[in-house]
Amino acid sequence: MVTQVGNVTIGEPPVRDTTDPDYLKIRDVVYRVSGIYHPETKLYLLAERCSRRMQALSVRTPAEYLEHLTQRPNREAELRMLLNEITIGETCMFRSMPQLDALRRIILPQTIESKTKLGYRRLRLWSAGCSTGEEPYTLAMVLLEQAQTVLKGWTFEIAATDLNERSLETAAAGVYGDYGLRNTPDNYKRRFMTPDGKNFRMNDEAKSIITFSRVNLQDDSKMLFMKGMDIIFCCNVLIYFDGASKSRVIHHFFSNLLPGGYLLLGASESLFQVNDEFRLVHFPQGTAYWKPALSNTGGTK
Amino acid sequence: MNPALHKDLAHRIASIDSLPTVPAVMRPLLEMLGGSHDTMDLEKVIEAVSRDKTISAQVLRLCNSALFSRSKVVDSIRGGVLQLGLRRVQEIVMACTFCPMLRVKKIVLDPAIFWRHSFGCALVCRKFSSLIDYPDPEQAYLAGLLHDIGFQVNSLIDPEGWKAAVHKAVSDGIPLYDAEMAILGYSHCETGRALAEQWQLPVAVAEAIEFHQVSETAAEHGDVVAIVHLSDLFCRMRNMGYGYYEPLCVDFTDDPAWHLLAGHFRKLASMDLALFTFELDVLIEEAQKLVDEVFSSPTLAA
Repeated sequence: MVTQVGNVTIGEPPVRDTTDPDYLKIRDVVYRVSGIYHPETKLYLLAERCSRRMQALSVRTPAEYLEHLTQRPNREAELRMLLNEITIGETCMFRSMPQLDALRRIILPQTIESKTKLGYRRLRLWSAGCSTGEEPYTLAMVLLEQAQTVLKGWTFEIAATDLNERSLETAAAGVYGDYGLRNTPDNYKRRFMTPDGKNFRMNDEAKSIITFSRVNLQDDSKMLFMKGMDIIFCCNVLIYFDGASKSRVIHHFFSNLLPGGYLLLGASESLFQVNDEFRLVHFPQGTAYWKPALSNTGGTK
Repeated sequence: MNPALHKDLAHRIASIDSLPTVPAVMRPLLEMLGGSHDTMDLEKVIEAVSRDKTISAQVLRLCNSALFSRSKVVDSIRGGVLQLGLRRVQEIVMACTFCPMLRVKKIVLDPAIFWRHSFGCALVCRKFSSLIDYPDPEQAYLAGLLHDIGFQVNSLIDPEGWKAAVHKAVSDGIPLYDAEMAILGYSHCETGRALAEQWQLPVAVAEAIEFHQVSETAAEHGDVVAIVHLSDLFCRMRNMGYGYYEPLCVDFTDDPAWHLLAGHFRKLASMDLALFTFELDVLIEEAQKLVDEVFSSPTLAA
């Protein structure tokens, strides 16, 4: 049997028993290297992604595959391939509803309140590693829907950056099909998009508040220019960096954020032992990293 | 607690005819969980559970359900303990005992949601305790399980006021505790404590019930109170609260309960908090399945 999953075609999968303890070991390797965690309830997803790589390598068991990831000379390349599989098909609009709920109901009101006290009425968001644009357009729609209410009289902008120029071209075009829009509520399609054959095209209102540009997150000189951010989204990007590079990028994000700003990562990404300047905060069904405000009171905000 | 309020609530609780008493089957379990592990008497527990035909039938049904799928059929409480372990069986016994006897009125708060939160909190308490080397994770489990029993009491002593408090919490997106204080002038913490005394629950558990919302005011058993306080928050942040959105942003490491525990348990300083949070989803699913299984019983559906 041949199956189409996202844009990847796979053949007959190897034997997959998610209760095999070697999947837990693979899970731990992935967490240690990338900070992405698969709870036992989601282990089947990891097993499914592993099975694609196992098939490509003609490996039959997770134990054998674990050896490829930890002992073989090409283990680093293999780990990268697995991380690619893990994040494939992740990109779509409205990918993480808990994160967007937190943005609407917690982070934005808090940011608006604190900036209003300081006399500022400008918001800057950054979608770092924006790929083909689904994330910044989602953020644009969330901000624009509040333009006549809590954000009335405010200016807001979204910097959307990626390393890959082809991705940025796709993002700038702003045309998406069913797969990229699978989580998008109809009311957003009606308000912010125009049908374009089988696809939908983002309208100018959403495009007007986004600036797409090429930025390598490891380019220190470029990173220094991304100052004055209120909120940074960087989902499932850091997993490709080694520990030292990741620490450097996160330190840049810390400097790029204004005091009281938030860094949001992928739903199961962690900065444990990567950075201790940020504070891990929890909101319903999600986490974020918070840069303490100058008058930090901490606790439950 | 204000002595006059305590007296008044204790009096109101005592006058409720429909308030359940602790069944005999629970006594040895409560003693075992609330006291020292040296006093654990496995035989006493097996005997008490086996003697209660209704509870033991429910326990056997759950032991043999898909939730704990085992190749061999469990046909006795002793067999259940051997196959599933004492800890699992005691969880099942508590689920089968407490869920039917304490059922908040569905019109206000779905009892299944209430018990999912309670069992979720119990499991998180146990896991958190083990992680930081708190010496009595089972006591923390019991405290987590019963920390919100005051909601049940409130729904009986003032159904209208309780209903208004729940509606306020949901519509304003505020903690139930705050809504109770605004509408009733007291909370489930005080009424829960009064019930705990009537039930003669262990003092540490009674304190966790009374102080879990304001853990820094706990008297003797500050550690277990702090564990319950944090576990309750963890559950509410991982989609196992009371079924409505609480727009909270929580910095656990800056909570007074965290500071208290950090002073007593060195392991807390090196804890991977993000990983702990991600792992909670497994426990939450476990609590959900257990409660759903209990509530699928025809006797409870009635």
